[in-house]
Amino acid sequence: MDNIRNFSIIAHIDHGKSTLADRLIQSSGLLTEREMQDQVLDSMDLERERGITIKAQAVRLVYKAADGREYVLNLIDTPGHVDFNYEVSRSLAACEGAVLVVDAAQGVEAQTLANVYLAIDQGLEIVPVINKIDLPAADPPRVIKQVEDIIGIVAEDAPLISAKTGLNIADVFEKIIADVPAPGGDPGATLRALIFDSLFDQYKGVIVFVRVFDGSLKKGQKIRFVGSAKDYEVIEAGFLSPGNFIPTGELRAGDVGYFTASIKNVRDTLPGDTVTLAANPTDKPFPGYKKATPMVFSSIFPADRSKYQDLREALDKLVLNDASLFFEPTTSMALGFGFNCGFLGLLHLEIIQERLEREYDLDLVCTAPSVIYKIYTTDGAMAEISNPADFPDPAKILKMEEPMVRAEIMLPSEYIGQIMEICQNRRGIYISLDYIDDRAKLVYEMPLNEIIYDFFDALKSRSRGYASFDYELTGYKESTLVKLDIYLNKEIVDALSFIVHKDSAMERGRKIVEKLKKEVPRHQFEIPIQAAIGSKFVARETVRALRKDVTAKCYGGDITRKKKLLERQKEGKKRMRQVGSVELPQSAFMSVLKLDDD
Amino acid sequence: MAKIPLSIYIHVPFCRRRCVYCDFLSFSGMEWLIESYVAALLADIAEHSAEFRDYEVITIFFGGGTPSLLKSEHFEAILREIRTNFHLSQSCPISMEANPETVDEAYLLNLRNLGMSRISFGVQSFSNKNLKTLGRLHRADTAINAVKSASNAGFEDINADLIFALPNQSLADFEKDLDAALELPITHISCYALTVEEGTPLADSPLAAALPDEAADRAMYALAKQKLAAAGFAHYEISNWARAGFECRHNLGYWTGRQYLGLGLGASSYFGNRRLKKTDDLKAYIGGNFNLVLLEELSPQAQMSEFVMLGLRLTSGISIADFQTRFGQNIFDIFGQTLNKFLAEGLLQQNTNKITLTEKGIDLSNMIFSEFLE
Repeated sequence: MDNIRNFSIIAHIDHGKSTLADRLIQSSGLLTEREMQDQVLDSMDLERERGITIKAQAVRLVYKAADGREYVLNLIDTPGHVDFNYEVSRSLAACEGAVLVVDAAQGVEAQTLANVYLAIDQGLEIVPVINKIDLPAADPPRVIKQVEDIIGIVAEDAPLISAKTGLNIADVFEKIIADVPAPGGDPGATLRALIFDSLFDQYKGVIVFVRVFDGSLKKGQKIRFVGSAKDYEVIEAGFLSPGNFIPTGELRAGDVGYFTASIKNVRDTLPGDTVTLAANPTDKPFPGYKKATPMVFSSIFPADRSKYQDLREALDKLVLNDASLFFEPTTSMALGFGFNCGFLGLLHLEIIQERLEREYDLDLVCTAPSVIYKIYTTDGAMAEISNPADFPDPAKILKMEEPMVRAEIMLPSEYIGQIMEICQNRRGIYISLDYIDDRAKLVYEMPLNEIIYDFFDALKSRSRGYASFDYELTGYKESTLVKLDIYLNKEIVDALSFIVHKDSAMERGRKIVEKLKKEVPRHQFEIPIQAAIGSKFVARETVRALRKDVTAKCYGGDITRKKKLLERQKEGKKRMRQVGSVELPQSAFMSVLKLDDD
Repeated sequence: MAKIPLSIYIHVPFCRRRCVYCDFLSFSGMEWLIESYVAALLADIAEHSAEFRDYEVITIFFGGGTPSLLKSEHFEAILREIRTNFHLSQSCPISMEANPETVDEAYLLNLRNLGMSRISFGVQSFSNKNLKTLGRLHRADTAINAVKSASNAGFEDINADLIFALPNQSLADFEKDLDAALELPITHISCYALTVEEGTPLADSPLAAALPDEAADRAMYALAKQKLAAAGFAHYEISNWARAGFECRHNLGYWTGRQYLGLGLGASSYFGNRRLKKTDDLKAYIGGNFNLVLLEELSPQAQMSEFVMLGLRLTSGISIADFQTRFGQNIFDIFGQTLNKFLAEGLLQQNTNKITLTEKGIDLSNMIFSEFLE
């Protein structure tokens, strides 16, 4: 056990975590050059495209150290984005140490700090590594001092590396072996293992990723999941190498690996749960992880009503890999049966929606994202609401509060003016502006509900794609909110209602009805599209009645072609949603989520 | 054994000039190929004779392009070949399309003597400005003279095509066109709303922006209905009006499911529940490619859909009894939900055995027809 080291890597979003992981895997000789793909740890397409890591996974590295001994290093990957704080905490609990990667030019970022403190709280040894020392702007002494000042750990002997070029990678291995403690635990005790992740495989059932703390987990054993109180027989157990599983039949105390047990029900293996022996359960189960709190909500409906069950199954499977995803059934007059979903943040929401569409081939209609508002009513009660349908009668509202974030925007300095304007328009409060080389870091305090619509799109379009942003929740502030309702042909469309600041309500209502006017197909009758705050209409557009839809000529040679046109017309109609008396394409629901600023 | 009724359509794909709105299969500046085209057509006719031994040809129609670019000798040869290879009914009407500037009385007299019984002129408008805009080669008086010549030559069954909702056209402008048409010795009028087809010169022209709006378009259509009815022309199909007994028998076939054989370049056929089409490659056709390429095979469901979508174009509508006879099922068992919806919305109406489009139903007929498709 003393030749094992279990560690994670903590880094800011583009400080080079994946590159370092690749480099470690490559240097440990587990893989040939040919097998090396870019960022081998990121197995999902989606992650590769975004260049970030979402699903925690682990990989076993075998390294021959300077002392001549072979060490087993289990690298447990963690997501770098603040949305996935919860997944980070799960992964960290399976480790004894964490490598902190800091960019030699940019230094420590606020986002990183949160994860570092999380690791320190869990008693992990922090191994600082200064990356990108090959960059012209690199200033290792300054960054080392910063790490020591801010985090309060010794960093003077931190490896100075370039993950990109492979410079000084051996130093990282040696430092991990020297500083990260070997796992403790009692090999002779009864089994006690921690689930830090899991995957659903259609052939093997659930593949459970564990860190064994005490005892051993063997093929053929009857094991128990403490939290779900379900027993299973282990079918296969082994180690994780990049891209494949290496069955060994056993995992011992200190090991990180996987097992399968023909588990069909994904809810039986919730990450954070304890695995022990059914015949001799441990009396020291893990506390489980603190349940993550969703910050952003959106209701998701299948575009095709008959796909409700498919959507449920897809969410059931996603939640296996993502315990932070929250969902509950909901119904909408306009959209039928669906799910009200809670997400850790915007990126999380987008990723889930994309995974549902890509991996489960579902066409979705999603409602405008919402956040949790605190509403104090005259009867002395406080309600936390996210669904506009739950917005109380304004006459009974005493006080309202909305969540605020600290938004950090990195951008080339020439776009500062435009980007500041976007932030001001969204009720942002300026905090600071700093320059790092030719880039600027703009910090604003902003209401969360102002960044969940199309803030990111606006940033990208105003900066030619160069601005990036991140945010963290800072707390609640008093605010004046109203519920904005959209009426289509005099009938309210529940799925289009949302909660918005009083000052933005009229403007947003106007934009939405304008947008909808382009989306609502003409009907036999005139359709007014209105936005209302309470009983007061604040915007209106009208879709004129369709007066003519007729083929003038239909003779022998025209029939097949005209019929094809009519079939297309019918197909288009099939994809429409009947909302009261009006047929609405699903794009109408999506269009109101993207309201351009100008 | 009673023979199966059949219509024959013959396509003439030549025009002196293409009109800006036209998306039919036709070529301009290729008139030098007419001789070889007619030769190919004769071979095409002969090639199909065996297949249609059990059929009786009850209408013949020459369409285009501009059929009147053919000489009367060409018509003579073609009709002779048809009579040699097919059974024609006693009273088989023979109809042709003509452009006003291509005919004179002598030519028309020859055609009449060959047995041509009906002639349809592409008049389109009596406004010289509009004719020019559309790319037509004739003027208003050319059309008037052509119709009169046809009448003088002995044609009793004469159609004039009019197009409305033209660029910058007002309701008063169109009324003048209707009035001028009604002055002529005609028995049939087709009034088409101008349709901007993709890929035509009109579609890319600034004229497309000067088209009357929907309300103006429908006002013109209403005016046509009113004036033509007052003049004794019955509205029998969405775009067609005729004096009693002068409905176009050939075209009626398209809306009532009659089988037809299309000969000539790109011509469409419908028989044995299959829709087929000839090549639209002029060189290949002249070279002897007379194959009928299958476009679609109609399932019983598709046949029922077509019965409704084509039959409803007629103001006499569809007959519940005919549906029962043809398909052995009650139309309400098949389309009950859709029929009842449109009946309730006032887009369809039912008179015991007949279901027809209402006036509003005509205006929104595509929307209605599409609902009857599978």
